[in-house]
Amino acid sequence: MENELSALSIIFTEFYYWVTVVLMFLIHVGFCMYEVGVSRHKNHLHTLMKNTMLIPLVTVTWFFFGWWIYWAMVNGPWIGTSIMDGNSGLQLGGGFGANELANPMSPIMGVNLGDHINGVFWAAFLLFSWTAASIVSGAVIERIRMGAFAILAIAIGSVFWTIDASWGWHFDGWMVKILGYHDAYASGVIHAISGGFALGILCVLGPRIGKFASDGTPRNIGPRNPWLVTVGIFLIYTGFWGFYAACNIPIIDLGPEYGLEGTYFTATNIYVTPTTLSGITFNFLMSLSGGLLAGYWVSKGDPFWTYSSGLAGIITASAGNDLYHPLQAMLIAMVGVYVAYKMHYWVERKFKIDDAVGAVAVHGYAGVVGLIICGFVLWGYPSSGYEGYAAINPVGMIIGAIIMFGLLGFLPGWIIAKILNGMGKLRIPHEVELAGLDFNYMEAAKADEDAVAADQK
Amino acid sequence: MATVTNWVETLNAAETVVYPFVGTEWLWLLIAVVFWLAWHVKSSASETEENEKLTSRGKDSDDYKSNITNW
Repeated sequence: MENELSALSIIFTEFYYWVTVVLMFLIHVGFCMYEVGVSRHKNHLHTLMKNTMLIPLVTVTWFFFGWWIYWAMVNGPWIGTSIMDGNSGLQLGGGFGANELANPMSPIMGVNLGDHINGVFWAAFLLFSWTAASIVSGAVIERIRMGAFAILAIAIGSVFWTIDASWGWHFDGWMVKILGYHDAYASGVIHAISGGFALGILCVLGPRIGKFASDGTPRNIGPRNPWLVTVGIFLIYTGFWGFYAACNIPIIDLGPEYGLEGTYFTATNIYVTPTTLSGITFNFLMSLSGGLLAGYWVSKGDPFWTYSSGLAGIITASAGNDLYHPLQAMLIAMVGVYVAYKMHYWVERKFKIDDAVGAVAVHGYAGVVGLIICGFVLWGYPSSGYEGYAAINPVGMIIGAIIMFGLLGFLPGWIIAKILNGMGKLRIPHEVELAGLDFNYMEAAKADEDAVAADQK
Repeated sequence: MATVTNWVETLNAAETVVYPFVGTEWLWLLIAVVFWLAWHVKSSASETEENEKLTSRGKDSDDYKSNITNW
C-alpha cells in the first residue's frame, strides 16, 4: 500500500467484502430453518444435517478447485478471447488455466501480507456456492440419501455454478463478450441454474410417498412449522442484502480501466460497469415488495407462497437491478412471481414433480423470466465498458437463460442423478421413508428420557 | 520451522508469506483431498448400514410418534 489513501481504499474493500460474507451467512441460517420448517417431524434432524453438511463440503471443494474454475474458464475454453493479457495484472497463461489468484497451492491462498482481497473475494463467491447448493437441498427433502446429496451439492456448488459464473458473471466471460449477457445480481448464474439442477434431480428422484393420489392428483404436504418458515425466509431476505452488496466492487477508478480522461471513482457491478449501492437498494426493496404483492394476490393470501414470492420477486429483477428504475424493478418482479407460481402447479400436475419447497419455481422459473425480461428492457445497453463486447439484447439473454437453466442446470442434475440412481445410491429405501429418517435418533432420545425418568422416581 | 523469526527483518525484506512450512502446500493439499474423498466413502457406508438396520425393522409411518420426547 503506497500511501494512506491507497491503504484506506484497500482496507475498506477488504472490510466491505468481509461484512457481506457475514451477512450472507444468514442466508444459510434461513435455508436451514426454512427446510426444517417444511419437513415433517420424523425428518427434521436429517433435513438439518443435509443442509448443514453442504457448508464444509462445498467450502473445501471450493478451495480445491471451485475458485480455480471461476478464473480458468472465462473463454469457454476455446469460445472467446480473454482480455486478461497480463497488462491488467491477471495473466491466465494463454487464456485457459488458472493464474496465481486461484491455485490452491499458491501463497496468495492464505495469510499473505501483500494481499487483502483474495480471501474475502473467495469467501464471497463461496457463500454464493452454498446458496446454489442450498436451493437444491430444499427441493429434495425427506427422500434423498445424504451421500447422494453430498455429491450433488459439490457438483452444483463447486463445479457447475462456477462454470456459469466464469462464462457469464465475469468481466472477461465469453457470454458477456459474445452474447451481451447481463446478470448483475444473478437471476441466472445462481438461481436459474440451481432451479434447473434441482428439476433435473427431481425428475429422477420422484415424489415423496403420498404426494400424489392414485389418480395423479397432487396433495399438499404443507409447512409443518410456520414460524420456522417465517423466520427462515426473513433471514434469507436479510442475507440477500449482503449478497447484493457482495456482487458489487465497492470502489474503483474507471478512468484507467476505460481509458477516460482523469479519474472516475465509483462502485461497479461484477462486469465493472458503474452502478451505486444506493440505487440497487431502491431496486432491492421495490422488487421485494412487488414480489410480495404479486404473491399475495396470485396465491390468494397463502403465507407460504407470499413469503416465497418476495424472494422470487427479487430474483426476477436481479439481472438488471443495477440499471432498472425502481418501479420497473417492482413490475418486473410481479411478472416473475406470477409466471413462477403458475408454472409450479402446472409442472406439478403435468409431470408429477414434487418440489417440496417450490425451489424450482422461486429460483429457476423466476430466474429465467428475469433474464428474458432483462434482455428486452436493457436492450442496447453496453454489457461492458471494455471494447469489443456485444450489447445487451433479447436473443443473447434467451440463449443465456437456456445455458443457465438447461445446459448447466437441468442436464448435469439429471445425468448425475441418473448415475446415482443406477447405483442404488440416490433415494432412501421405502421402509426408511415411511419410518422417517430420524427414527433411530428419536428412539434413542426416548430411551434416554425414559431412563432418566426412571431414576427420578 | 517458523517462517517468521523476526518481524522487523521480515517486513524490511518485504516478505509477504508468513504461514509455517512455506513450500509444502502440495502436501497439505494432498492430505486434505485424501481425507475429503475418504469422508464420502466412509459416510456413505455408514448411511447404508443405518438404512439397512431400519429397513429390517419394518416400522410404519406413525411409529415415530411413540418416540416423541416430553423434555
